[in-house]
Amino acid sequence: MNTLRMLFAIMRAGYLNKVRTYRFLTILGLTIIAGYAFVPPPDADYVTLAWVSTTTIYRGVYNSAWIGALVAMLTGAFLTLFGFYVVNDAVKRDEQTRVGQIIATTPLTNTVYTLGNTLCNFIVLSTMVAIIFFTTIGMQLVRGEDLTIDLWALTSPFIVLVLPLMFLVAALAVLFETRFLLRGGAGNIVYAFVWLFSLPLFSELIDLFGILGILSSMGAAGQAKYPGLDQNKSILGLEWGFTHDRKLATFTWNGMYWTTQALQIRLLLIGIALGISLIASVRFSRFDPAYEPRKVTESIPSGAPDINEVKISALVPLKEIQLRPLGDKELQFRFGPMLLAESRLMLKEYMQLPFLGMWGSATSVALIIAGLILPLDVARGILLPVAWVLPVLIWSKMGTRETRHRTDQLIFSSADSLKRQLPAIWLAGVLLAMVTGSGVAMNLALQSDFLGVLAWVVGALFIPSMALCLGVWTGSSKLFELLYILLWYIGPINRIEILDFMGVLPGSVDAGIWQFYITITLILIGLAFIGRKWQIQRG
Amino acid sequence: MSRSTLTVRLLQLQVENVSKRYKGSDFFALSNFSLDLGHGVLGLLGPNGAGKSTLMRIIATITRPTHGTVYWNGIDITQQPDKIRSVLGYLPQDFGVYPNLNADEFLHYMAAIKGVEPKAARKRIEDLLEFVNLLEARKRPLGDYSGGMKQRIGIAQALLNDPKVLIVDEPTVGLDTEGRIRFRHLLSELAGERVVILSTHIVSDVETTANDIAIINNGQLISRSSPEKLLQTVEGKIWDWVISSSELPVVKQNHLIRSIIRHREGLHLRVIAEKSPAQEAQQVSAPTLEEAYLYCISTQRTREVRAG
Repeated sequence: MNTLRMLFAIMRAGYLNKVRTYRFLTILGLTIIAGYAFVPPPDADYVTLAWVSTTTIYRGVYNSAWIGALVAMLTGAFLTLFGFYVVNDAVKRDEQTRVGQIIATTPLTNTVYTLGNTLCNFIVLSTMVAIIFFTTIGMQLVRGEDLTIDLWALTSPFIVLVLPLMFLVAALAVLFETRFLLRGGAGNIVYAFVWLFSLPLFSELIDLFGILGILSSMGAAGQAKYPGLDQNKSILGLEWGFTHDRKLATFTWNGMYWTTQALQIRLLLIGIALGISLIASVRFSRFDPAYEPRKVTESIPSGAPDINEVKISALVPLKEIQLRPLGDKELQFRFGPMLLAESRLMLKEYMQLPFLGMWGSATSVALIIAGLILPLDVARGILLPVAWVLPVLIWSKMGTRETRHRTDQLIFSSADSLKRQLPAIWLAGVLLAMVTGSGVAMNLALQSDFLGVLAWVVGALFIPSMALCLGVWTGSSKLFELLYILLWYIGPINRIEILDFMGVLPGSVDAGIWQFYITITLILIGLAFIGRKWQIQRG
Repeated sequence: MSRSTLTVRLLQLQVENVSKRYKGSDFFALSNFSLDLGHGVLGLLGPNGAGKSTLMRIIATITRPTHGTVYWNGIDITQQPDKIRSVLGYLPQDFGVYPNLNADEFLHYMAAIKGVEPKAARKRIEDLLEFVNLLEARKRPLGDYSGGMKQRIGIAQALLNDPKVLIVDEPTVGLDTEGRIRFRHLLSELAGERVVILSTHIVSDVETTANDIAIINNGQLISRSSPEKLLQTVEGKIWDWVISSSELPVVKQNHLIRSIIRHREGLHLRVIAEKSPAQEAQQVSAPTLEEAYLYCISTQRTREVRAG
């Protein structure tokens, strides 16, 4: 009983603390927009779920069953990624607020603590799912293709598909937070990679998102009405470019019959999540500072003698230290030392990262050399993206350090920090990009590919500008880490030209995609400047 | 005109009718607050939540007032904050450091931000590290520092640019006795050609350094005077009184008690009262600043209760 009460207390405190922030309101706003976007109107430029042939787009009538399943599938896919970043700060919060050290001295066990936080995360995520769900009901009425609300058909995909996934994400977030190497930025990046690379695999293997079962049921219903529908040619996600020159054909799908096997997989997910939560409790440091860098305190003489035993040989005056006044000349701002100081701060922080710091920088150096000597297509197409993804944790701290480490009052009360310090941070970030990518740039120059060099320069300007802007505005490094990895993966890695911001594809360089990124870079710099100005002046 | 002649002539900080209400709250942390300052040390005293930190943040240009202005040598610094920032040293009550930097690196970083020329900065940091007694710990990461050591780094950074205006909020928290005394000496020395504002709830810190004391309560200035004048307000109002333990509950309800010490013959009380609380009570000739402060705060409360 006592344990249950503890669980409930952790859950409640964590939940209230989370939802009572403006940030959470913003997140809810975004989820409503997502719910809206998932159900496009008939004349929209994009589709979210359909089967296509050369002449026709087939989709179900927007009834409760279709809309419920559609939005649930997309919610499951999107929130397994974004949801993780919404909830992966519960343990960190206890640590930063030092509440953790108080919690650690209570009878609360590690298992109850991690389980309580898992449940708390789960409820936060469920709140988002619930908001999307209510939006979905609204969307059925707004689209108005079928006005009969079938509550079970609407809710069951959310309950069966989405909630177990959310539980899994909730547990993973706690697991990441309790592992020393997966805390913070490194964990953010690792999770993005896990999601990008391993989830499609699991999706195929055990139908993790429950998508395969639903799609085959829907496809069969469509094919019964339109024999021309090829069940293999389905589209799911936000997909542009299919709506032109194709006519729309709709069919009715009445919902899913959940097989025992499908339900067993969902139960299995919940079991796995519980298991993860238990694993998280094992070797959890329990806020023991001994697991953190050692705190040095000054030596206090032990075995203090009684006051009467203290022999005073001679009274020694306190040591006098004269502080020499500074003259005008010594108080003139110079940009050089400022830039040096910012660069040093950036690198120092990175080098302290466990594992990544040393190996990451060693790899960066190796990549500079390899970028120079390997053939240009390898250097540009493969080495540059790697060289420019390694420092992501350095860039992501840009503009966030002052709030994160609470040095903001010290720095913002210094003269002209907007004109002095902000440009120094930005330039330090640019220099980092230029140095880590220098091998490839020299290679390009040696081959006289000066347009390529130009695109490279734009990339080196764009990345830190994006980091600084997002850092200043969100006060956290998470958004940049997530967006940058997605952009990097979809653009340079998957070779989508419009998203090739670093000029790794000869096609995009020739097409002048870099011009587009110059504009964006300027906008980002402007926004970063405005954001910081607001930070300095608010209050 | 050189910097020194400028500063001798112009050292004036005026807080004019400043009010501050924080977003989403009806509560005024400061209301219609005015204060004129020249060189010297001003001790700001007041209970928790009186508005001391808000006032300091406004003067340090961290927070903007809801109404009113602050002038530094005639310039409105709520509009042109950089005019004071270049001569400002500020030690906030609650601040952080970069845990991966050591003391040397952090101070160099702050020196760069404050625009101290690198060579001068090196010498200055050397002096400051010696002054705050961190020479030996200078190469350790700040993340390993204890609370008192971190506080000393805060003091050092506030003095980096040889500020003309030094604002220190609870500066001696976490310092050991020696560090505290040394810091007090420094404030007295600096005061000659600077505006120093020292906020604290430790009255003895003010007693030994400030030539000017402002007492704040509920966002308002309730007293401004020299320490001597403040002491005069309680002259003849402090009483030594010995009572038995059983009398204490009743006495507590009716009198402002400064201290209680248990002796064999009973409880020795030190009571602050306009008139003798009892026949056997003895008047004390040397009141302390703490007693004057308590008197000032409690008379204001009494006035409020009566007015309310």
